[in-house]
Amino acid sequence: MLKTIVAHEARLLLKSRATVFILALLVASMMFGIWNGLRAVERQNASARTAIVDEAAKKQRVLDELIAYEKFTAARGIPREFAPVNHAPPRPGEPPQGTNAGAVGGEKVREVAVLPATGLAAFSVGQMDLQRNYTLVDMKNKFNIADNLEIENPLNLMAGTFDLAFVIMFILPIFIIALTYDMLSGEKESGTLALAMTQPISLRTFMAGKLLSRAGILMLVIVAVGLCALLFSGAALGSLGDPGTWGRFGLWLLAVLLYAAFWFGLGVLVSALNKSSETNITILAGIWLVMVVIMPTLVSLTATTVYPAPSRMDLKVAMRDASSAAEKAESETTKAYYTDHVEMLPSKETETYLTVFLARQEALERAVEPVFDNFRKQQDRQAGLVSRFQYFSPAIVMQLALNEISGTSTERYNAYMDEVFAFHQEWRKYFTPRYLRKEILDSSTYKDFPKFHYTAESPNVVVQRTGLSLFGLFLIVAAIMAYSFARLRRYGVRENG
Amino acid sequence: MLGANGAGKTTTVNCFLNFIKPTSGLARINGIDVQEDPIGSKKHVAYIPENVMLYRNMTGLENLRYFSKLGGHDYSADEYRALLDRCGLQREAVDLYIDGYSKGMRQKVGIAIALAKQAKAVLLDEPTSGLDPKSSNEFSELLLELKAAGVAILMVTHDLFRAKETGTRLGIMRQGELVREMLADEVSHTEIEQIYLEEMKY
Repeated sequence: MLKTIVAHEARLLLKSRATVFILALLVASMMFGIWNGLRAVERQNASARTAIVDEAAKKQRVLDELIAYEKFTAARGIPREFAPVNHAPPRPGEPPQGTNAGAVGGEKVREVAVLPATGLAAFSVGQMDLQRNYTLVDMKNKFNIADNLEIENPLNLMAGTFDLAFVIMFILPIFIIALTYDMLSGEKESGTLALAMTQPISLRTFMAGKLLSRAGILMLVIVAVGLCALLFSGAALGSLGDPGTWGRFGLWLLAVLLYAAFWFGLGVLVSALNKSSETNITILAGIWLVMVVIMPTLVSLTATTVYPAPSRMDLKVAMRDASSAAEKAESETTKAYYTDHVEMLPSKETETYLTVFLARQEALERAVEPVFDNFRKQQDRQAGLVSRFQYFSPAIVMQLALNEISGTSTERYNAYMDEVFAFHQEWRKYFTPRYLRKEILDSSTYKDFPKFHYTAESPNVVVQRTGLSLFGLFLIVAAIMAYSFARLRRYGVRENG
Repeated sequence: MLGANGAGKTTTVNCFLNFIKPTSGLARINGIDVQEDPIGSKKHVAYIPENVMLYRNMTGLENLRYFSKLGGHDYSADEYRALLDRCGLQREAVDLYIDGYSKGMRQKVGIAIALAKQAKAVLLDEPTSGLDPKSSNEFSELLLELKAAGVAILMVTHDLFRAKETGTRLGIMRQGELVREMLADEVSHTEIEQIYLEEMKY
């Protein structure tokens, strides 16, 4: 019986121009969203590639100079020397900066620590515009290298980019509302409900048929377009061979299915209330406005108001204060002067320049650490508040989940930054002792410089971060459906609610 | 069943269909309490409203097939066509969309739906109002056929003539109560009209 109703409804839906138009619009907006997302990811990847090429070229220049010097000394049989810090190019026969581990690790050579995009990155741009996907690591203080960290980063839940996540969050509910608002009221108003209800079927079976046909068609479209989007973006990013990509896609489908089910649930609920089609659509449009537009903004605003993050200005001020304090601590003003104008130093003193510089970097780091810590903590508190309030609006659940699944969440980015900071320490540990020992760097050691290897988060982490909220959403959907279907028992075919 | 507008005739029919919960009392079809077992009771009853409303962007045949399947019976396309033919629907209209149907044509599809269900009881709510005399006459013929086949028919109507022609027992309702009952054979057309007007005086 259910099959008969589903088949009948599906036929009617596909015959209706309005439905076909809605589905076509959904397909088009999903396609446009994925195209936009892919562009953003490719832009990011391209800038990371450029950085890698630039840095490799810089390293090569230093290396070429060093090799030339090594050949020069070897040909003449003279010993190699350790070069003091000097910004001027070396004269022939003088040791180049490439021999000095401090100069090399401090500014001449930088490692590009890249956060690779996941296979699903194009599905949700998230904070991509605010968070650079690569970091240039040298021996400067970690807050200097972490300049890509947008500290005033708002919890930008009002997604600015027209990406697939935006289509799912904002537009999909509108289409679902259009498909469901008159499931019963429409038939009641056109008079067919009465004739159908004189047949030996319950209103709940009837509704289940209507629901399944609509949800089935819509999910078919979403799965098909989602798969196309994955193949399209995966082919462009070369991530289709990675099983992680498919795992993320599975999770993405689950999340979207749950979100769609929530809006279908509201369609059933409003139908069960037995009001006119006009009332239904007004109620649903109101819920959409509150859930999708107002609540996310309100929650985001609450989070940033209750736990304001220290501004970028605070960080800069702390750095400047620490910097000037460090300068004052250096007893001789000339010393401070020479640290900025190193080329004017007599050669003996240049040897201490870098030591002073490195010491100052550490002093800076110590001074700024509390501000940064506070920022991270506030960010955590904000995230905590948002995650507590997310159940007020499935749109928030969705935004968080889609970012997490696509690998564009703040949590993944923070984990990456922690890896970068750890690598920064490793970088320093490699170069500082060599510099202090005045070790003359050999060109053969250049390939042994520390390399940044990003440790990808395990799939379990993604499931852990999204699992609870998706389960919460599932419970909400189940409750709405259970209540609505129970309420259908009281539905008067001839009466109005 | 006769009675003025608002006397409760349609409400009675709605009670049998479980569309309205009775404030007191029981409605039974084939011995089944419609409130206790609405789906079981609906297996035995067919219903033709005053205005049969069908799915607009489907043909007459498709409508008949869908409702018939919902009723638990499925037939071959030829059988459906024969049924519509029997109900007097023009053959060329069978495969046209309901959009282009007149009220009488929709009514005929409604009758076909009721017949396809092979129900033991049929509820009719002013089924011939707005039909032309020929269609109305054809409809009465069908009712007599059903009657001969042993189907119980409850028809709400304002057509005293057709009530006498097709009915066995006549009842008059006033303000929700059955105030008069008579056998169709025992009264003449004029007598029915007189009794009806008498009852309406109150």
